[in-house]
Amino acid sequence: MEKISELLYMLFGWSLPEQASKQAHLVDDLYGVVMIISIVGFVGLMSAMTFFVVRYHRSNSDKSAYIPHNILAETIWTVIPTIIFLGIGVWGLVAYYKMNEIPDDAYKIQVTAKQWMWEFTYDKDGKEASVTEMMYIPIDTPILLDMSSVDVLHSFYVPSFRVKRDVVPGMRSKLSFTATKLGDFRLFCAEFCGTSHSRMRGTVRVVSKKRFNKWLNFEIKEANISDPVELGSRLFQRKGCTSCHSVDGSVIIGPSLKGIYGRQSEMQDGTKVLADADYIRESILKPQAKIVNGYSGVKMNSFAGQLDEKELGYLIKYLETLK
Amino acid sequence: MAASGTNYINCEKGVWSWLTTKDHKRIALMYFFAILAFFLVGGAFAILLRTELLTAEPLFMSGNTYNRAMTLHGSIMVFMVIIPGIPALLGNFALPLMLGAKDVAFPKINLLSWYLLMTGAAIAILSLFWGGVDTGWTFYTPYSSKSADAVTMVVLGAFIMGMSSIMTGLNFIVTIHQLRAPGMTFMRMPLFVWSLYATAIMQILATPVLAITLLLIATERIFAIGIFDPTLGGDPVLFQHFFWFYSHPAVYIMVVPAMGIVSEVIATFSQKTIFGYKAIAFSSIGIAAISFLVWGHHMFVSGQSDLAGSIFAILTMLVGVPTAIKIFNWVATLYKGRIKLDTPMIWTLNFIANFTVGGVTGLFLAAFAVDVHLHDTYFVVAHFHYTMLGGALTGFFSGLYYWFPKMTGRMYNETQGRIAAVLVFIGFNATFIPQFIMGSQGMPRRYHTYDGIFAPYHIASTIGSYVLAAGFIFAIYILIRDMFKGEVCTEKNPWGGTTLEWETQTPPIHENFVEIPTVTSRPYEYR
Repeated sequence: MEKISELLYMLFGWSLPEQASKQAHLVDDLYGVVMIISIVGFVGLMSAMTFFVVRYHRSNSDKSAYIPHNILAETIWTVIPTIIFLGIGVWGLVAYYKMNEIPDDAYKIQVTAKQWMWEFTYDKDGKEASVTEMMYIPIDTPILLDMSSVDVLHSFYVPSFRVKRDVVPGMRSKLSFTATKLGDFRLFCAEFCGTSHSRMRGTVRVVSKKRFNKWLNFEIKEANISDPVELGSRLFQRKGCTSCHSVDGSVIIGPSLKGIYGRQSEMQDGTKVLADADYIRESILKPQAKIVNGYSGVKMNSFAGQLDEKELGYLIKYLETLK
Repeated sequence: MAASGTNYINCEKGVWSWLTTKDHKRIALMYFFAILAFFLVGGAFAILLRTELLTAEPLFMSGNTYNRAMTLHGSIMVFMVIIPGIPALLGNFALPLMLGAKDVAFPKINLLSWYLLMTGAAIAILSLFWGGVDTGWTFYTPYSSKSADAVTMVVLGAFIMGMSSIMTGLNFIVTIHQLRAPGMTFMRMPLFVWSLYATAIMQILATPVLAITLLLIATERIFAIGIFDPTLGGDPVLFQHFFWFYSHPAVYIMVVPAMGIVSEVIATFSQKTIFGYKAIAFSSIGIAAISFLVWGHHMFVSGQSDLAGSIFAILTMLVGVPTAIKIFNWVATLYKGRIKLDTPMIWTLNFIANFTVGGVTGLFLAAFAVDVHLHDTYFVVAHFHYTMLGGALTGFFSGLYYWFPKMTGRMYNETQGRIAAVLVFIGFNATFIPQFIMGSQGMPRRYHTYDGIFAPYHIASTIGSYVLAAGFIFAIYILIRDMFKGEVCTEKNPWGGTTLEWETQTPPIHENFVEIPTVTSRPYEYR
């Protein structure tokens, strides 16, 4: 059986993506068999048609034969296709059920689809971590995706795994597979979902179990930091504050933020202002409102809309610590 | 047009006489111009889409423009070209003639159908100016519930065009039951009539479901009553059930009449009795019956239950059987015939070749497990173009050329007609074979941008589509030019056909026959 499977893939594999899951060959075996049946049927019919058209062309056929029907022929070409078609149908069902067997120990990942991105949520010891675009999975481990959509229909499709399942708002759909190859595999949204449907692509990265655990531990740790100062520090890095403001007293472009909290600074118009939480908040959201003396040539962009109130709070907490 | 004698074309004059005509042949000619115009518009969108897809990143369209062009291409081709194409145009012209009748049963309703199609089409096309519709021709919810307002307009347009389709179907069923010439039993009806009968049954049973579904969408959009939108408490999968309950029979509404044309053309141009008359006739009815029970095969991965999916998968395999039977019978008809490769026959042989490909690739999609991989990829796009364009529309052109002399009293240029048919065949296959390959490799459909690995196939497909477009433009140019300037043809029966339309003068008189013929045998009695 395995030999036949390999032979079929050798013949028709060029028209398919690589096989990177345990399920893939179930699809490909039937694909190959239907391909052979199709080619035989098509070539047979076309040869007969071409032969008849040439042989019985009016230039070498004076009179047509009168053959209104033939019970034997009709029976043969009714019964044989019925058997073949039903055979393919039953095979297709059996393969489908095999593909969708969900092992009890399958590793569960939550997938959230939204216009136009994929979000993957992992769970470890009651702690969660969410990532987007790139889904990490361990090799040779049954995976169970628990999928939902927050807006319209989407469809989770990884050609190399031969899996596809619509993600329907208001419903949870499940999809299971086991990756058998290391590497990156394309993930597509296969159900039309609007303007950027064709941009709703992602990657499934299959890694060793060891590397997966390491990655997961790191992501869980990152996602579960609850210390506001630490969160603020990360925002400070991530939002690009460091490209203009140092924390060690040196001047990059804007004033250094070392010891900013509680500092009295002289403004451009000569007034003195105490840098408290309100002042810092205003300076982030409306940078041009009060400009520290000596920095009038520098124009900072507003971060309004890029930071929510909670994040502003973290940032202020972090800045308080910069003594 | 033809000058000699009185006929349906010259018996009355003036635009008003056309716009108020109740003559089925004149109405057919009005459909001719309308449908070919729609076809050119739908085709223009196809060429724009294919050109845009030359590059993996946007070439000249934005994502929204692409989605709107894709929606218009699909909606125009389905609702305005293929569904009305054969029944309303060729059926209208040929059905009463083939039955030996003076007209259809309800000539005024027949004219009303034309006006309804025009009204629906106008409303649908007007939606462009309300911002356009970007949902695809399937209007899947909840996207269509949230998308731009123009959806309501297109839906209204499709609803009105559906009314037109229902009325035509009803008209044909009554005509076939009531207006057959003396002696024409059901078993003596031409096969094109059988196929129109099967089509009409599907039209009047399935189209109301579409109408109801579209009304529900409109209700949801206008009054915010939750039917399909989960945020209002609706179920989006329910919409898919409703939609495909119509749209699966609809694909047979599109292709079964083309099969009827193929049966006529193949008998006439082989000068041989059709092989398996009963098998072909009953397989049309068989397809019509089973077509109502397979809609779920569009939804294998949609979230319907696996049990439902399994039942639909097996039933789908059964619908392949009557289709296969027809193809075998057509090829057997060629055996020991006297074959002449005139233009209608070339289109018909193209139909058989293309439709066989469409049929066998349907096997891949009906096989549950394989469909999981192929669903919503270019494999599906290629498959249904092989049945709808390579099948239905190719059969439509076969019929247009076949009945052209009878309709117009002139003959088209044979050499040019053959060249156009061959050009379409080459262009068609060059366009869609690459789509099969990229589809099975995983290229999803309805993608404005794509992964660079698929680029070579997209480029090949686009080049093919230009050849295809050239072929169709040439084929239509020949028809329009020769309708006015072609060689005059007054021969009653230029092809040596055996059905009744070839027994009356060319072009026919206003009420078709001077004396209603009496039928004493089956058609296709070439002895």
